[in-house]
Amino acid sequence: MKAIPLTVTERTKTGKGVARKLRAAGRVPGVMYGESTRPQALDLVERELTAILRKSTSEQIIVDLTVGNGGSEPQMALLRDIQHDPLTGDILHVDFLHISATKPIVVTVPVNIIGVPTGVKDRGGILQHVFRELEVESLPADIPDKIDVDVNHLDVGDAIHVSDLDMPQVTFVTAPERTIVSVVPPTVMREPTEVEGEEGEAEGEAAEGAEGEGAEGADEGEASEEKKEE
Amino acid sequence: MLSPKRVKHRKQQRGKRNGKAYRGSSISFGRYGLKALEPGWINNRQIEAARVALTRKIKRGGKVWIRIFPDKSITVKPAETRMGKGKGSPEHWVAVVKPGRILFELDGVADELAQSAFLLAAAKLPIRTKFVQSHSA
Repeated sequence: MKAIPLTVTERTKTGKGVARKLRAAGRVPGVMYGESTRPQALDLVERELTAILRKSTSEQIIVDLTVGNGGSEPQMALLRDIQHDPLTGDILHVDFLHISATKPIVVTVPVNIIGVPTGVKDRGGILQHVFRELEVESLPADIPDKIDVDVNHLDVGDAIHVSDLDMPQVTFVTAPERTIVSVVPPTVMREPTEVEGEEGEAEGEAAEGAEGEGAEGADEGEASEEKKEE
Repeated sequence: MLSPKRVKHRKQQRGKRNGKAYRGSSISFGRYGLKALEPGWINNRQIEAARVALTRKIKRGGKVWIRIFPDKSITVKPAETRMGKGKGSPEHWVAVVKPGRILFELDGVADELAQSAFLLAAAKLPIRTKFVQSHSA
C-alpha cells in the first residue's frame, strides 16, 4: 500500500463545541496516537480527506502526515478509524495511528470478488458474501490494497475459506476456517396456484370441522341460554 | 410474526426516542439496505408486511435480512374504560427505531430491483426511510 501525502493542522482546543465549529467550517477534528508518540489533536480539511477516501478501496489507508504548514517532517500514519454521522454519512472524526515502516501492523483489507460463480449463472444460486473485509498482519509496504478472490468455479454449496487464499507476504489474522464467500441455493417463492390450493383445502377442512362441531356447539349454546334464564 | 418467546416483564414503560442510532447504522450482511430517517415504533405487523412486500417483489433469488426485532410490548386499555384501575393489557410488540438504523438488508439482486422492492417495503412502514448501498460491495 502506497502512503498518500496529507497536510493537517495541530489543534490546541478540544471539546464538542470546538469540534462542532470546525465541522461547520468544513474541517474535520482528528487525533494521532501511537506507541512512541504522545496523542496529538489535529484538524484537517474535509474535502481533501473525502477526495483521498473516494480514490481508495478501503477506509484504512496509510498516509504521510505533515503537521503544520510543512515545517515538520512527514510522519507515516495509518487511518485507523473514521466516525461517520449515521444519517448523513458525513465524517465526524478521524483517528490516525503512528506507525513504523519496519514494524508489522494489523489492518483490515477489503475483499474483491472476481467473476460470477457457475452456481449463480447456471443454477440460480445466490452468492453470499460473508466477509467483506479481512484482518491481515504485514509490514506497511506489503499491505495489499484489496484481496482478490476468484469465484468463477464455485457451484451451489461451494465456499471459499480464508485458508484457501494464497498470499505469502501477509499473515491472516482472521481465523483460517472462516468462510469468505459461499454459493447458497435460491429461496424459491411458492407458486400462487399451490398456495390457493392449500388455502382451499384448509378452508374445506375448517368448514368440515365447524360442521362437525356444530352439533356440540348448539348443545352448549342451549345450555348457556338455560343458564341465562335461570 | 416476530415476537419474543419469553420476557422477564410483560409490561414496559414507553421510554424516549431521542438521538440517532449509532449502532446498527451500517450495512453488515447484504449489499442494499433500507435506512430509517425518523424515530418511531415499528410493530411486528408492519415488519411482516414490509418483508412480504420485499420477498414478493424479488420473487426468487436474493436474500433478505431483518435488522430490527420487536421486543417492546405495548399495552392498550379496552375501549370505553374509565381511567385508572392499572395499566392495560399487552396488545402488540414494537421495535424502537432511531434515525440512521438499518431496517432491512438485501443481497443477490440487481440495483433497480432492490430499489423498487425497498420502495414497496417502505410504503408499509410508519416512518420515512431511504435506500442505501454498501460501498465495499
